[in-house]
Amino acid sequence: MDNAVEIRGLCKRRGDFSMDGLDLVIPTGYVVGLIGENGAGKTTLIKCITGANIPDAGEIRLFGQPFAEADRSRIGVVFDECKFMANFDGRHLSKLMSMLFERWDGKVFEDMMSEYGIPMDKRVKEYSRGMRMKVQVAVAMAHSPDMIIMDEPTAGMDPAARDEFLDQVRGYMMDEGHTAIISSHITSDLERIADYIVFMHAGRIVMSGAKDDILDSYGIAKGGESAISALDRDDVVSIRREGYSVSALVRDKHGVREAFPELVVDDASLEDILIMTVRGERP
Amino acid sequence: MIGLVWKDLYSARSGVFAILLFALVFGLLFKDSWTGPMIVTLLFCNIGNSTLTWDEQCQWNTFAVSSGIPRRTLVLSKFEAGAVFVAMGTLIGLIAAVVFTVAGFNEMTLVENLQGVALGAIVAMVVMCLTIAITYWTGDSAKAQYMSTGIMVVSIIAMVSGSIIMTEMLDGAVSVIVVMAVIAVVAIAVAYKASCRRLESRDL
Repeated sequence: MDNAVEIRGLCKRRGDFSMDGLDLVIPTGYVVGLIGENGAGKTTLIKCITGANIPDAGEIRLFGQPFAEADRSRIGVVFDECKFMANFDGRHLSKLMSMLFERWDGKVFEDMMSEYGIPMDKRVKEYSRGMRMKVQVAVAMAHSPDMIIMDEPTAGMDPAARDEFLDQVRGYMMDEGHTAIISSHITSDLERIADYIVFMHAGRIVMSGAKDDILDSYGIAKGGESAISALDRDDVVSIRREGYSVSALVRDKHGVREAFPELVVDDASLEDILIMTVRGERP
Repeated sequence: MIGLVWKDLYSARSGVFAILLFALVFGLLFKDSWTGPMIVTLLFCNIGNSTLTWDEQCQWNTFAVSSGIPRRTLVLSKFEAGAVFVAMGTLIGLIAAVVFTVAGFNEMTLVENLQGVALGAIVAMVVMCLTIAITYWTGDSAKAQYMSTGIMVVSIIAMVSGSIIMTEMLDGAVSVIVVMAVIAVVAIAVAYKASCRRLESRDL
């Protein structure tokens, strides 16, 4: 099966921000989580994949096709802000989408709106922030896309709605031909659903891999300055000092535990890895 | 494409009624000459531009392009929706022309009033296209809106003055309408190309 997305040498400059020669391959059938601080380049990357941003250089292939030839109506998108007209209600949005998308399924849309508790006759301008995100998710799912790309889809959703959303993504991914790319600051959501994680920082991919491998291998070693300095530099991703305590994000926590039994080595969550990558110092 | 045009028509439905009210007021204010029915037609040309401003505000184009709708299609749909609004204005202008003639509001014949409507439709198409192109290039900031409105007013004055001068120079209103139509075709083509060029080179 073709890769859903192949990116080679992607360059994009915008003001102070620059993305230089980014490479990324997303195989079909995966849920990929994009993690990074504000301004890391997640939205720029997503917009380059969807065509909303025009890359300065590089090649993007979608569904095995060169970007210009790929059928981008096979992509469902959710942005961090709702892009629909404020004076449209659910019924008219559905009518509009049925005219724009060949594979639009009004019943799926109505069912999802009903599940989310959004009346079809309520206008977009009357929605809460959470409702605006939900209606975007419903639109993205209802046109039967082969790939969904979501930028902070759970922003503004309460925990129950987030849980419901994650269930919907799981349901969507039951089809092996489907792919999902989700960027989120809520790393716990990605821990629950993503197969593959891409960490971005300052326009670069600083780390990527299968989520289970990352969570299984990365750890936070804690100890004094001298104990941490004894660690092999190649094993250490970043170091953070808080008072007399020093912690280090290490790539092979099992190896470090064996080699340095005097150190406390905790499991690292995706959030720990993000914070250490962004705020820690390079060894 | 039909969906995009429908979206604009649906979005502007309340604006159409407001413009209709303005058109009636202005039409009656200028009822003494052929400019009355022309103004009625002209007022509708700005609705198309308003839909573009609304699109910019909610960033509709970001969603549309991301969902696989070609940028050129978005521009074309905007011009098509604008043409529909101008057609609506022309229809209302035609009705106004007939009413003005039958009611004896001015001393013009029906043909003269209809020529005013035809000229109004041509000027409206030009102004509509120019304002769309300007909005694509300048965005939806307040400064851009002032600039767009200023250019629109200047365009209307230039086109109407031009048509009056040409009426004096050329033999009959039909010749003027033909000349203005040629100018309009060129203006529309330039505005469309400029709009496509801008949207195709811009991050959304």
